Amino acid sequence: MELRRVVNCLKLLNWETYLPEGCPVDDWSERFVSRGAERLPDRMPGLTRLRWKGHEVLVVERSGRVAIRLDVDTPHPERRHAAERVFQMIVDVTRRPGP
Amino acid sequence: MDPDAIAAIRTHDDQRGLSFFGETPYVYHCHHYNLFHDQTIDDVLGEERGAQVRTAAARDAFRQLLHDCFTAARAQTPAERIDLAQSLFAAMGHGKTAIEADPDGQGRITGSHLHYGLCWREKYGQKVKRFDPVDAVTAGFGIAAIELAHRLHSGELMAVEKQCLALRDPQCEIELSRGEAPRPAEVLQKSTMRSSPAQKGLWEDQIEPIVQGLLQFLGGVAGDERGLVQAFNVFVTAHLSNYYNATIFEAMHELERTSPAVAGSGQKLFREAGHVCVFNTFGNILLSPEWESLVGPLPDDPEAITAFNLAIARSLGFGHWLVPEFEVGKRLVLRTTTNYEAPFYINRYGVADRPRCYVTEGAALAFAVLAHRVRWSSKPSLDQNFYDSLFRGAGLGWDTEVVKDQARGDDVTEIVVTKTG
Amino acid sequence: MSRSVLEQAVVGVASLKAIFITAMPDCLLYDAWQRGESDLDVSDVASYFGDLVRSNREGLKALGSWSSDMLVTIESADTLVVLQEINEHFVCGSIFDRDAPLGMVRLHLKRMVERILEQLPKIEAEERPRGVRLVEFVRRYAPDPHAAILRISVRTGLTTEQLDAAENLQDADIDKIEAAARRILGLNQINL
Repeated sequence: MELRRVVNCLKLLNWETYLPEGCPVDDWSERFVSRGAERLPDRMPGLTRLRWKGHEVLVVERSGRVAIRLDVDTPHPERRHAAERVFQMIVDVTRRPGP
Repeated sequence: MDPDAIAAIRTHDDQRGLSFFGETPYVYHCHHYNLFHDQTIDDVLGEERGAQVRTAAARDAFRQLLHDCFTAARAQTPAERIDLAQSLFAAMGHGKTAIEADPDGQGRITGSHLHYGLCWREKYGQKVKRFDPVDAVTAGFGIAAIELAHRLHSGELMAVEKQCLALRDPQCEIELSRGEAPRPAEVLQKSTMRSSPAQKGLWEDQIEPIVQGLLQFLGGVAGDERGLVQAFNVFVTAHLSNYYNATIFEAMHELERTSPAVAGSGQKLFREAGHVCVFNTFGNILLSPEWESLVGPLPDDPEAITAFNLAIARSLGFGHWLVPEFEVGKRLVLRTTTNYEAPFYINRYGVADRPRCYVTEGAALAFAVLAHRVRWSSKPSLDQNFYDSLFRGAGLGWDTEVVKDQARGDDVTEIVVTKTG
Repeated sequence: MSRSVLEQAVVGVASLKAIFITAMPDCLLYDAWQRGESDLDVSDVASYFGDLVRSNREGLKALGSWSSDMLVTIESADTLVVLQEINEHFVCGSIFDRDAPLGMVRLHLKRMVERILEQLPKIEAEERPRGVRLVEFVRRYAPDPHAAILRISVRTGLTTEQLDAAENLQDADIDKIEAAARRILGLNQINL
């Protein structure tokens, strides 16, 4: 899995990665919730929305794409590290099923 | 104001591609467009007059909206009304505000996450320093809320923004006092919006389901605990088209009166606002996880991308936009049986003597550029370099001609975009 | 300088991520090379590097410690940036991997600069009109560079054609441009 910055004018706020092929999103989301993520109301069919430590994590069921939207209050110098912490958690949830 | 109460007053007219809160038309625009728009108003009018015009336009637009809301919710007391206004403003993505005012209207508005101030700081704050505050929309909204809460006449409250996030202050703070403000102007309402009967264009079967999906999504979108809407990788606002129109046309009329030699520069800037809107708002929607969930991966197909853009325009409340003719690599005809610019112009100023749908014209050109010159499957970065490579200077490669304009009294607005060179 | 020349100059320098050649004193990008895909705004980077070298030079001169072969080395979290005035007209900014050994970086730099210098044009300094330099300054640093000239136009009442030929403008018009530029850029004064 690889963390990629989504480049636009918002300084280091948007990032993304992909779940490994075949990783079931429902099951993965449940595991993320059991590790402290909060499930947010669905806005779009096929799009799971979670929040972890104030940052939003969106998962596209059809492709396994995971978008990380950092809390806008994260200070600029800390954004890269914040994204890496979320990514690390995503990797951890993917690789280690248990809490 | 809870999401259900907002849903109760929110409607979308499928035939006209327009959205309303009660009687008030609204559209979705992202922070890129909002900042570019306001900057352009100030460029044309100067900072002081620009802020005055923007504040008055926001006041008039929000006054109509809040009046409808207070009536629908049967909000009677000042406290109820202020509370309702703050909730609605935050739900629209403009930021959470705290309004304090005496019965005579003097007071202040504060906010730590106002859309304009915060987004200016995010987008430009590391690049340039700013001398002037940016939250005229909040100032106008606050004035409207206080006028209606305390049943004051419109045009007697002034606002001065003393602190602003864009000036690197910790929060935005707007002071309100009694004084002579611009007189209120009439704004457009649902019942006074003229339009032609909807027509069918190309790819309708493809467009309609996407419009419905996007509308369903947008119906659930509301500001977070800070009153911000972060969706599609941008900050989004549900904004009042009366605000955009009143400010653009006031600025253009003044420029035509005072500096006719550079009126063309003003037109180009407002057309450029259309490019900025389509590149950033539409582009980020197309590349978003929300879009991928709804529609799927993006093809490198000019026709499909144009159909997608039409669906986005209709669902954002831009009007009933269609493409009756399309020749890949050569020509695109954008027609609107309704758009959000022309009805306002006709209503306030009468029939125009020249094309006035600037944003629609700019968007038409941007449709052609995004359809033909972007490899969407490669998920490009929508940054300044990419924008410049598409829209700056001679590399543009496409030209527009406004064949019909509803603001000039035509039955539809029609823009022909042709490949040049 | 053709693209292939800069590409040839960096051959064999695996730890190099990007290189920027900035023309002085205007800090305009002259040429750049980047490894693979990147989200850098090369014009911005080039102009900031130019400004940095200029202020560094003035600071060192004030300290009496300046020499023409100075290197400015910046160690950031993931990159090592080295800035060098390679002659009086050009600054070379090189961005290396953070973990590249400093000795190797200096060696690579020496070789690269030799190759680049052979290809750089000989420049005769030209004093360009203030109006032209102001317009260029705004184009380079304005928040929305694509709209910069139009913004100056509506603020000053000067057409874009007049601004494109700013060398022909009168002093009063140039003052207007400067006032507009200060507003757009948030500067109290512009020192060109």
